Amino acid sequence: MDTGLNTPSRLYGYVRSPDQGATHVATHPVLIVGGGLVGLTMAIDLVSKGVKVVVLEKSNTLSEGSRSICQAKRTLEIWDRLGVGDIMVERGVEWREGKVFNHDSLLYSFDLLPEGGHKMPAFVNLQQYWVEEYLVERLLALGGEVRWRNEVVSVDQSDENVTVNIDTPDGRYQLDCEWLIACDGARSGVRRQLGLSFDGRVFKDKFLITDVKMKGDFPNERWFWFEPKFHSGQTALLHRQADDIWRIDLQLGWEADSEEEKKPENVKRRIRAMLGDDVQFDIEWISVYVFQCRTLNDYVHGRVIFAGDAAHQVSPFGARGGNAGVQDADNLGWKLKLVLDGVAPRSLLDTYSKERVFAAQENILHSTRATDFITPKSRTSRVLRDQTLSLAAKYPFAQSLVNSGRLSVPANLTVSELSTGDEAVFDCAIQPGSPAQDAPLNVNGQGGWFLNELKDEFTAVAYEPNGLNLPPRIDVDGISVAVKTIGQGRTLCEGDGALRGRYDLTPGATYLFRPDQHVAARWRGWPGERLEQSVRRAAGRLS
Amino acid sequence: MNGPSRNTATINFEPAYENGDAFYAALVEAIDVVGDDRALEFLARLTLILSNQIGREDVLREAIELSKADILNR
Repeated sequence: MDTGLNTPSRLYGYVRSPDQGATHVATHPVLIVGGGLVGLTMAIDLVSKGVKVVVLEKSNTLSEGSRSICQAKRTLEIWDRLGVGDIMVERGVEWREGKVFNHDSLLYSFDLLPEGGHKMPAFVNLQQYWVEEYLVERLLALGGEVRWRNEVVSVDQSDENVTVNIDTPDGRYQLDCEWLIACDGARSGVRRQLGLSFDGRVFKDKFLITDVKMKGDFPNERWFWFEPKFHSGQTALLHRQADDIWRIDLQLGWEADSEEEKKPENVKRRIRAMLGDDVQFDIEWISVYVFQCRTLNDYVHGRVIFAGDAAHQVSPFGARGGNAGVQDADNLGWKLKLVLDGVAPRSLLDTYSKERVFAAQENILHSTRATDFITPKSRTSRVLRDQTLSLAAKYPFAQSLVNSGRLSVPANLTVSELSTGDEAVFDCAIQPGSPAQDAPLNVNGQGGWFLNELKDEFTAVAYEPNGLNLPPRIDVDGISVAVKTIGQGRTLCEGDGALRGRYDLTPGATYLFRPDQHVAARWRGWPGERLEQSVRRAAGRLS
Repeated sequence: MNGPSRNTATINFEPAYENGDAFYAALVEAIDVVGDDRALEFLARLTLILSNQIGREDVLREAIELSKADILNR
C-alpha cells in the first residue's frame, strides 16, 4: 500500500507531555482516541464549545492515501459551522453530475442537486489527507491538543471515569477521563479491548483502489462502468480529486491475488488499458480492499462512546462512510457538552446511539444494495443484474434500478424522541428531526446564508412575528437558546422566497433548531412556554 | 416460516387473463425460441418488465414472499 505519497509533506512530531511521568495520573474531561477525520471533527466541535479535549493518535501522519474523498453537502455544512468549511470547498473539486456506462455505451447521466440557493455544493472531492490537514490546523488554532504517537493499549472504566494506558516512544503512561470517544476506525483497538462484537457482512469481492496523477481530459463527473472493454467483466470508477489526482477503482473479483494486484507493474497495466496509450500518469497510491457492512448495536458503553468507522462500517458505494462519521460527531458534541455542564441527564447520550444507529442502518441498507448490484452473489443474481443493465440501455424504468451507489444524504431523524411532534400542518419536506435546509438570507443588507445563523447552540427562528419584539436569548434551566427574528426591515430578512418555501413559513411561524441544526420543533405562531418544553425535550429532560 | 398462505392482502388469485391460453402459449414459444440456455435471461427480463408495470411495492413484495415461501416449502 505504498508507492510514493503525494500528501501534505508534514510529519507530526511526537512531543512528550507533562502528563507522562507525573506523580499522579492526569485527568481530562474528554479523551478522543483516533485523530482521523472523525476524531478531529469531534475534537473541533467540543473545543469550540469550551470543552478541553485531548486527541490521542497512534501514528504521526495524516491519512495514507485519499480514502474518503466525496465530502457531502451536509458534511461541508457541519465543517462550516466549525469554521473549516470554506477551505474544504476551495481546495476540493466540486461535482454534481455522473454518468453510468455499460460496456462502452452510456446508460444514463444524473445530476444531484438541481436546486440553487445553498451555500455548499452537493459534493466536493477532497482527499482525506487534505481534510485531516485542515482539521488539524483548525483544531490547533482553537487551542486543541493532538498527541501523536500516542497509542491506547488498554481501556478500563468505572462508573466515574475511564482509565487508559498509552504507549509512546518514551514508554507507557496512564490517563483518566470522564468520557472516552473512540474514533479509531474500522479496526478500532478500543472496540477490541472492550470485547464488543461487530457484526455484519463481508462482501466476497476485492477492489483495487488507486490514486493516479494525470492531466485528464475528463469532466468533474463521477463515471462508473459496468463491464467496460478496458476491464472486462468487472466494474470501474473514475473520479477527480484535488491536484489533478484521480481516483480509479477497479473491481478484481474474490479470487484475485491481492499481493499480485498491488504490484505497480500490474496496476500500471490496468490503468494503461483504461486510459489509453497517450495519457501520461503517475500512480500515487495503491490498495486492495475487501468491503464490509457492520455496526455495533449500541454506540455508548458506559463512559466509552463510539463514532465513525469504529462504530459502523459500510462499503464505499454511495459515500456513506466518512460522511456518516462526521454526522456522528455533529450529533454527539452538543449532547456531551450539555451532560458535562450538568444541564442534561446522561441518558441524553443514549439518544446519540439511537439516532446514529438508525442512520447507520439506513446507510448499511443502501450500501449493501449497491454492493449486491455491483457484486451479484450467484449466477442467477448476475443474470438478473445483467438483464437490468441491458434493459437500462433502452428504458428509463430499468435505469432507475441500476445501482452503482445511492449517494449519501443526511439522516432524517424522524423517529427521534428528542423532537416535538407538529401541532400544525407544514407543507414542506422538512419535518421535526430533519437537518435544516440552507437558503439565501440578507444579513444587515448583505447576502448571507440561513445556516450560518444557526451557530452551535439551540436557536429559535421566528419569521415575521407580527410586531413582537423578542429577546435575543432565552435561558431554559441553564440552557441558553438564541432567538433570531427574520422579517422585513430587520437585521435578518429573507433573500428570495427560498426560505419561505423550504420551511412553509407564514407570518409568525417559529422553528426551534438543535445545536446540530436539526429541527426540534415548530409552530405556526410564537410558542411561548411550549418553546421551553421543547428545549427540555430536546435536551432529554422530559421522559 | 409458516406454510404458503393464501390470505394475501393484494394478490389476486382469480383469473384475470384476457386470454390465458394465448399468453401461456406465447410464453412457451418464447422460451423455445430463445433456447434453454438463455431461458433464465429471458425470464429475468420479463420479470423486470412486468414488475414495473405493476409498480406497487406491497403487491411486488407479496408476490416475491409468496413465491419464495412456496419454493422453500416443497
